[in-house]
Amino acid sequence: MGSLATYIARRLLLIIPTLLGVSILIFAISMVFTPEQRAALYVTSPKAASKIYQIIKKYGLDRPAHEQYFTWLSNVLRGNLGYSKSMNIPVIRAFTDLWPTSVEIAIYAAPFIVLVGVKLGKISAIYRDKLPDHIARVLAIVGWSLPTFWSAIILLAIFYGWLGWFPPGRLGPEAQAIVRSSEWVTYTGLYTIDALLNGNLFVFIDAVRHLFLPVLNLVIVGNAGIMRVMRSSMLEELNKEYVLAARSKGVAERDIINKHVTRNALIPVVTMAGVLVAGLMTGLVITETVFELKGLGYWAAHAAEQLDIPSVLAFALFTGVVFVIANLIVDVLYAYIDPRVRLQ
Amino acid sequence: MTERNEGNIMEVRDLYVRFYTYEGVVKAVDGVDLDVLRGETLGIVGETGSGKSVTTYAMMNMVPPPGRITRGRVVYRRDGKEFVLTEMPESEIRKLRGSDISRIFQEPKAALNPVYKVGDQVAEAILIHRLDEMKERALETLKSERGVFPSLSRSVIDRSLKFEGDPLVRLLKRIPLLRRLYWKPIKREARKEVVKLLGLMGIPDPDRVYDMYPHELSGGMQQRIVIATALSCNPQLLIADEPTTNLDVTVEAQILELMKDLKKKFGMTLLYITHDMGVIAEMSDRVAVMYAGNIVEVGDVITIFKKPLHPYTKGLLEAIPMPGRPLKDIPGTVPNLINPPSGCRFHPRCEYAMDRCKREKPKLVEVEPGHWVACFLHHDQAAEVEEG
Amino acid sequence: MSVAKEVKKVPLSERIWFKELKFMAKRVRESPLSLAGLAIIFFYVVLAILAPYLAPPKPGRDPFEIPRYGYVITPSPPSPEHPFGLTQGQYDLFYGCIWGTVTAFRVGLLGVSGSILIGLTVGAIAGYFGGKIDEILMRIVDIVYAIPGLILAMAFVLALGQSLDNVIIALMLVGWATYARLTRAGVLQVKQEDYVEAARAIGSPHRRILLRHILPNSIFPVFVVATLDIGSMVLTASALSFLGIGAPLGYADWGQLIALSRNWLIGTPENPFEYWYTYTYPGIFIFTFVLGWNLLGDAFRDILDPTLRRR
Repeated sequence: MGSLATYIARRLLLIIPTLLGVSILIFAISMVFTPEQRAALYVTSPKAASKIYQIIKKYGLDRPAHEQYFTWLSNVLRGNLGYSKSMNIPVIRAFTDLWPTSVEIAIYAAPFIVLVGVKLGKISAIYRDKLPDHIARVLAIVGWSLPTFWSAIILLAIFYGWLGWFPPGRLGPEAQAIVRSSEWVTYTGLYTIDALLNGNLFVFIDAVRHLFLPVLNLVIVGNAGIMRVMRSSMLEELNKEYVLAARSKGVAERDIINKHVTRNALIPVVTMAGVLVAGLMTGLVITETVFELKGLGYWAAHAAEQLDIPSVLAFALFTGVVFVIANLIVDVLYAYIDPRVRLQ
Repeated sequence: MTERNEGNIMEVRDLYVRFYTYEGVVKAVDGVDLDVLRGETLGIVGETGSGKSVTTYAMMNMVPPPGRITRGRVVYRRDGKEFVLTEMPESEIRKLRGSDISRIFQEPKAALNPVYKVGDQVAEAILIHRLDEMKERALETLKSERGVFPSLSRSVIDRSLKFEGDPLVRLLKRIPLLRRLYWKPIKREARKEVVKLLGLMGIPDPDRVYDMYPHELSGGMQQRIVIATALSCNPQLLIADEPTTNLDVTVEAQILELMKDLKKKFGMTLLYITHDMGVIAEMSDRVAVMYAGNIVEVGDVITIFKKPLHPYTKGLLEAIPMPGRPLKDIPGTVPNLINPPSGCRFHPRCEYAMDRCKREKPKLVEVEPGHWVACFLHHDQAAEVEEG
Repeated sequence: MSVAKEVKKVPLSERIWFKELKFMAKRVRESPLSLAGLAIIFFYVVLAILAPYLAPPKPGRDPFEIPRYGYVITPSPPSPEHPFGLTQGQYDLFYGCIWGTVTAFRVGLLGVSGSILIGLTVGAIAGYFGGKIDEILMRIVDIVYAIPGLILAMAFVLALGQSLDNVIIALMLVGWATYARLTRAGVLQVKQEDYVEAARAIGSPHRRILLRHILPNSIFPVFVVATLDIGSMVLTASALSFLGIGAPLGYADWGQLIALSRNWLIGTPENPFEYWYTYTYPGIFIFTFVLGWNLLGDAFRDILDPTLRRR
């Protein structure tokens, strides 16, 4: 176990340069803007924003780039990410207000994306070049080719516009009233979980009803990548000699696949988690926008449309940090699944 | 070859195996006849790609894809019963694999699943083929234990032994945590058995090694694990596919010694595949020489070494480096088996090749009792034997 | 010099790229899916070429500006003059979809070729020189990878200013990282080969070794990925347009046409799909265009996967 701890410590050290790099990239993009435009990055209220020249002087926005970078970075590290004009609140407040929506969608979408992708990839590999393989591959290619925003629109037009089953937004008006009432206790900000903790089934069902389409949409467009990796890694593992060895022991074909091959084939899939997170972020920007779920992605999209520079840059920085942390977790998981990694 | 033979543990007749690859159809095994006598060590020798491995895969009816047995019969005999592997359903063959016929692989590292503990990999075979025996032992052990859980375990295992497919037991096996009631005592017995077996393989501290992963062991230790797996269910026939080729010379000697020793202990028949004539001389009672998907000569080890008849066998023997003798190579290369040479497949490399060799494929004939060769040079001799 | 020539002389049929090309052609021929993809792409090529005839632009106007027929907000259903109908603001959907094809090719081809150019240069330098340079360049690649493509492109477009050209530039600035990694891996592999060692031994200049010996033999996977990438570039560009930060209003761009349909998902109680044409037509265009490239690319994917080859 000691080796696992040192391994984690080493990986933690390794993410520092990448995080610094990401911050430099974001800062470099910001430097394209004029000092006047950049002033919004340093203030936390609209009143302060009106005194543009004082801000430029105070934060040295006319000084050399490297000096500005350190001023900016220390600001960022203190949680001062500027003022979001699209939301009329400081950027950091936007994060603290909006994260539950995005997290709620993500924690339901991610497991389904993985499950569907792994299952399809497995079927596809086992029945290589036979009908199930072709069907699974076509499904994956179709999902891969669908524009996220279009599939969302089609889902809404059918299931909301026509059938009226799954409305957009996070909650219906009645549920909203309950959530806003004084009896409601907010534990996490995730309505499905809070509803269960409050013992309110009505809100729970309403929240699930609103989550269904966004999650479905993310699963449709998101599983293709995992399916492909699973398929090729299954095919590779099926060719390994330990499969023959297991067969020569008399292990049943089903057990060979489920016990021996799948666990090995999942190892490359685990490394995909970073890519999955990146895909989810992108998917959330679009899906939240179409389904009017006021989360981080919705905010980012609207900020971009309204040229709200601090918000977009902060969101980009945030996704970069999330990606790096996701990869860190993956590496630790990887060491757990694959005993060979731990010793290195 | 000889018909009806109670002494044969395995008979291969007229075997053809094809590999359907991207480049074309590889005729990997092309009409092989072979008997394995009960209790003997039969060495199969030949260059890489001569079809020796594939032939033995066919003996377990598990030629890896894209390969397929296209013709022929493989018969395994035990206790006067006949098992035609080429005609049995897969589920029946599976009962023989690992218990009656088992296999040792060339590359122990590749033959072990990297993500499972080595001990569990040995135990797997035991839990498949010797499950009832493990259950009995578990019951025996549980008898002396007090408490709610042991007694629960005992009744579950007892039920599963009484009649197979008991619905209650089947349900229990699907419920996490509860299924440990059933499996834990059984696996404990399997573990004891594995530890004993690992000790027999000359593995020091077997109880600790049980919990190790393959990459934590040296090549020699890995091969001992593979051997332990193969022997875990007391096989009648053990197929060893170049088990020492990838090991250091000193380790090779140890493993060879171990195998001879185990063969005596377990009283099994050994089929030893190698390209190393030295190992053949050391290990085998009889030798079959393969070339390009055919068996070209079969005989007891002394005959093959002292009086080889087929030009290829002679070439192999002359290619063994020896002090004071110039090294002689067999000219030419191993043929491409997608388009193998016509007639006798060895004729392009044979210094005695005649016209007939290009047109006709020589049959394997008995030139003297127990000595078979597939070469036209010796067909006359064969006729004499038959007359005599 | 002559030594290098000597070493390099390989018959055409033995060259790596020739063999690869033959193998690719074989894969496409054997796979009905990729043939379908090829057919779809061919269809769109024809559509793009015939655009001036299918949907003639008004003389003197920019052909990429979608003509409007009035200023009413509510869309108008398909009619003989406007076969796909008019979307919000009376923009002609048929015209927009047809010229959107040209836009898609422009975005896809320019975006990918720009990415290849940057990625090839960076990857080749990193792989060939190695050491510190390699370390620094690959770190930069890691950083670009860390931020999801669409989100980084959003930031770039914001910085550069909203226009389709800037979308393409943003796509290049995001997309090069993949090619840099691929090229670097290929260069590292080829670098060990004898003919490169020979060229180096006789003192050929770096630029010559890279351009003549290494790149031609390591470039292949780059092109395979490029076919797969065109579809996703078009998807990203259309997403940017959909979010309102891509093509300007009224520009012939599929993503934008879908953005215009967003207020019309819900029809009337009598006819829930009253405005179906606003989102259906442009959506089908994007989807099938991307599908065509991805179907073709799927056959090539196995080529990149050495473990799945030739069996």
